[in-house]
Amino acid sequence: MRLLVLFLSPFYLFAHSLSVTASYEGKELFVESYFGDGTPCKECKFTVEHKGEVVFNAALAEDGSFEQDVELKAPFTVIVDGGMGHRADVSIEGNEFEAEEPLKEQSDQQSTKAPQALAAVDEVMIKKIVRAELKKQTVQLETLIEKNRSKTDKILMGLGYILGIFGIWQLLIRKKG
Amino acid sequence: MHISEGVLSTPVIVVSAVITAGLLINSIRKLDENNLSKVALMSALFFVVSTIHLPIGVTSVHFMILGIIGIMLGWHSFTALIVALLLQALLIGFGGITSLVVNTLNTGVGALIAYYMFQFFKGKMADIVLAFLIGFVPTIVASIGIAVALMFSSDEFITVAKTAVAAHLPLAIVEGIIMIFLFRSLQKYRIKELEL
Repeated sequence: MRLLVLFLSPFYLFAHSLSVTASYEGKELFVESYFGDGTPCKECKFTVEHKGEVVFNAALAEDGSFEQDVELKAPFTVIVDGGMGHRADVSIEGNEFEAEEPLKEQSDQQSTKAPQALAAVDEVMIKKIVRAELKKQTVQLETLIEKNRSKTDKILMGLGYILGIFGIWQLLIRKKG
Repeated sequence: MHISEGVLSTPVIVVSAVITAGLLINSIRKLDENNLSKVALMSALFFVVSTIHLPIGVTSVHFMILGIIGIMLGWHSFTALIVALLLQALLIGFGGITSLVVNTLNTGVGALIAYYMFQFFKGKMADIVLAFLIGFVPTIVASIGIAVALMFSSDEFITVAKTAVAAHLPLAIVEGIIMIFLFRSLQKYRIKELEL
């Protein structure tokens, strides 16, 4: 079974012809979409759906990305329409920054009580800001890695699979005969 | 052009799956050791060639070479195409798993038409005309198949469906011209099965 999973694992990496990545930190929504060959989804329209309702829509820039402060409530799904029947979506489960808001308020109350608490709040805030910025950069890096993955490698891999599939088929026919 | 994942409606997928299954069973049943290598070769050829895109205006379409696949394989085209399309969906991200049957049906029917055109018109018209038509017609048939599948899936796709057919017209002409050269090469090397 493990072998089967290993054999099939590359398949699941490239399951969509149009790919989309997104992050939502603080109020900043970042979306990037590109086709299987790495070309950006230029000026493609996208919608943000929360519980099946469209809560925001806009278009990507020339480089296939979008970055803007938007009021959204997680979880939500970003759906990119690449035209000619190409669609891709990605779900954002939660906003880390938003989730930690109560903690911030709690820390604010504490800060009035003691100067040490104020220092703790600063540390918490800095951590959050750094984490948010890193998350965005990680998404951008992952997109870059995926885009640069060689198409030739994938084609050669496919040819290998074709040879393998029909080779095994041939062997089976011979054994049967 | 492949139809992507999540675009087609369930009835379209189910109907296509039933038709494709029948055609595929017929294709596999007739398959024997002698023609398996040809099927593998055509499957590999389709897999590679359909990654070559032809830019047309704001969009791009890719080569399909269904004519040559059809005349070389006949009914076995379905086996060659489903393997190539499955691997394209899983590895390169062209098409999708749910749309696999529809993509196989569209391309397979195109290839089968090329096969019967070749069988019926061989020797009855000038080779150059026949070769062009064998390249041209399957591409148009496949694009009409895409259009029909999209139109039956949602009214939203009517414009996309019309664009898909229009975008395939220049490609069909290019495929027709390529087929003329391929046909000449096949005649030159006297491919036994084709009796050219």
